[in-house]
Amino acid sequence: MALPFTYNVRNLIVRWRVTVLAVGAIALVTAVLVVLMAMANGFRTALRATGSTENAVLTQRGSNSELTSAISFDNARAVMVDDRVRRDEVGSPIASPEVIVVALLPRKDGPLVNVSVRGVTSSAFQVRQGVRITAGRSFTPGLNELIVGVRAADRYAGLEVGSTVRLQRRDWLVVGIFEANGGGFESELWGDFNVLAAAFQRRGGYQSVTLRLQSPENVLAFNEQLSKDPRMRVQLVQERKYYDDQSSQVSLQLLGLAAFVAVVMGIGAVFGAMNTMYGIVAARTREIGTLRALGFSRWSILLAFVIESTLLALVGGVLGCLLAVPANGMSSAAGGANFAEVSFAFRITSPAVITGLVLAVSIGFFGGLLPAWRASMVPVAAALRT
Amino acid sequence: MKYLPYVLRHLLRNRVRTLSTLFGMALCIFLICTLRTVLGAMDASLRSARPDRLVARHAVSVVFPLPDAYRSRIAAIPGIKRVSESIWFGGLPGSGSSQDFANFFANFAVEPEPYFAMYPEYAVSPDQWVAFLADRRGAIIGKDLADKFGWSLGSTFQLTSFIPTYQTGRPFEFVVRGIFHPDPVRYPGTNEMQMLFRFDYFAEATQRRAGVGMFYLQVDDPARAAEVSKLVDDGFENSDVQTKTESEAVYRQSFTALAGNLVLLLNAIGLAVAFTVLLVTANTMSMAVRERRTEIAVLKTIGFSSGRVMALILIESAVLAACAGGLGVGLASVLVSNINRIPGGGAVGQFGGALQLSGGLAAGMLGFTVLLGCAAGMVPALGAYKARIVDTLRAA
Repeated sequence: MALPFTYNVRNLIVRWRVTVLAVGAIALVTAVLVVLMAMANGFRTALRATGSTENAVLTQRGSNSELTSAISFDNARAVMVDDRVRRDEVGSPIASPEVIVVALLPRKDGPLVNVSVRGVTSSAFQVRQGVRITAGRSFTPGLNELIVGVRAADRYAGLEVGSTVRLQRRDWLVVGIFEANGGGFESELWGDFNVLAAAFQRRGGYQSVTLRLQSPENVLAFNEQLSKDPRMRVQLVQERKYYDDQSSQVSLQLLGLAAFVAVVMGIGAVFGAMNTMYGIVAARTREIGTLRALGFSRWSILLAFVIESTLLALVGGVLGCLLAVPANGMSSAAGGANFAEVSFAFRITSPAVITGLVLAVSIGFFGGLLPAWRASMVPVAAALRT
Repeated sequence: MKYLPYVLRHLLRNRVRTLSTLFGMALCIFLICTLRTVLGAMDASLRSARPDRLVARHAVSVVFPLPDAYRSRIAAIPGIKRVSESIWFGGLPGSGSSQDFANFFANFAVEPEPYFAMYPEYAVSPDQWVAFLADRRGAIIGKDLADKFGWSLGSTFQLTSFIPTYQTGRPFEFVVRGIFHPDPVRYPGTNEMQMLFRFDYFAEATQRRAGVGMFYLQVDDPARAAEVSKLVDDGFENSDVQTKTESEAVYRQSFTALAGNLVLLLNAIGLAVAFTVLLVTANTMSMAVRERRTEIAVLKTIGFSSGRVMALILIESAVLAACAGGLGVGLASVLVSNINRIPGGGAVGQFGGALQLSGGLAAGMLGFTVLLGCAAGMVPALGAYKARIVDTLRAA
């Protein structure tokens, strides 16, 4: 017969002084894991939200970022007029040719950092429907005007509407702020394609073209055909996959760090929990003897202590998740593929919370196992005598 | 000292508890040590920078090349002692088709004579140097890199750049002609996970289409470095391609700054871990003291002063912490010195500095652990200090 669950709960409540330190340690371990996962998650989400599954990105074959890519006008035009690219009401292809450069701008907290500046045409807003101007207006083609992503405006100094930024010996007027569904574009500055390409000496081609496809699932076949064409030096990738691939290295490193820290701290915490449980078992030897004398089996004693330890850890885990909550929405930045910063917000997601709780519960379970075993092995007569 | 056997006896009384505390603490100390070493490597890459060395690059971004012709114009600027063209080659081992980033290491094309004259930390023995100058495919590599791939003098290997402009349709072939391993005291923080090869080989293979990634400059007088870098940039102010010239330290910082708030995060984690150690140890010590309340009362009865009883408990806690600290630091030094052998571990080294568990850090961590141990033992020790003999004996 198993001991009632309330027995475990009451034990923890009555002896809270003993358990509070172990709970604290487990809470810290859980909090660290959840925060690290939130960081990796935030970064991935920022880049994932950048790409749509309906679009495809055309870049130079073999290039691994837009910054190192160059596409000739001929190649770009040949792909844009293809039947597989969707067209708007007036029959022109829905395609956004773009140029990407990097500018050094001061962060609000001091250091100069690389920020992506993207030259686009009006079709950029057609292809990327998530982009919305939230303050001011869009730039006027032909003028030295820029619109700024919300995250960039937040992170770098002097990017308010109406202020001017000096790039390439010219003054650029900031005329608007835009949002892009939380994607990586929000860390960028956008301006007119022709003006930026001229100012940054990027004439003679595009760096990337983002296309809306008739049937997005055919992107692989389309790319296959392009790679066989000897005149074409381009590659076509689904937009979401393109930005996902760019984030994978950094987010894998972050997740690797999270795993390393969690495993090491987790094992440390198992020892801590084990300690506490041994102490609890030792303090209750007589009680265990009594329970055994009453007729509870070895197994129910074992189970009771494992449950108690797991419960204790669960409390720690929940506390740890609560500790991590203030990190949600915290803003940070990491290096993106273009040698420029991509800023993002920490995102605590349910998988992160669940992983944290699973870690906490496993700490409790494994930490409780050996002490529970010892408790179940207590000889009845000797225990009653203590 | 005469109480040491007494303290040790106590620690050995409950072996399971002592061992589990020991391992728990050791793991946490190991974690803090490793994190601090990674942070230290980022710093070291900045410390190995010297004030007389400058880097000139494309004003927009390092990924854009500068024209070859700039070399002679820069060299003619007064105050400049040496100039070396350079390319961050981005080469990956093998044919490059699979983009094997796990085995990535830094590789640069440089002009042998001026470059090695301004970077004495990469110097090799005279016979290796002669062999390097005689072989256009020659490469000079760091000792860590040689160890990782098992390369020795005369080994051949292939690299393919992942940057399209540097691809020639077939891999670049290299022969190891020199291995550098500088004195860590004289040149701290030197990255030995990198490879240097000849710029003329690179330029010829790419038919001079690629331009120059950056120019390394050395100035006559470090005090005038800022002035000289302004002279360089002003000289190209009205050209098609402008330059940005900065000191080596600032240049390197612009890469570590890309790691974003990671530094802050790692520090925060370290703090949380330290606090965990405190909790785990405090737990153990309070259990240990609670268990032997009677004994403490007896000690006091036979004439031990309260202060001495308290000191005994603090010492016990400190000894436990010192053992755990030693174990943790030892584990960390084993991991750190083998990090290049672990798959993906090379990524840690990409920040440019050499990964090394410094003696200072090890000693500091040990001291810190002992301090943590004392702090953790404080509450139970105070309890023992205050405990009244009569009450304690009666309760037992």
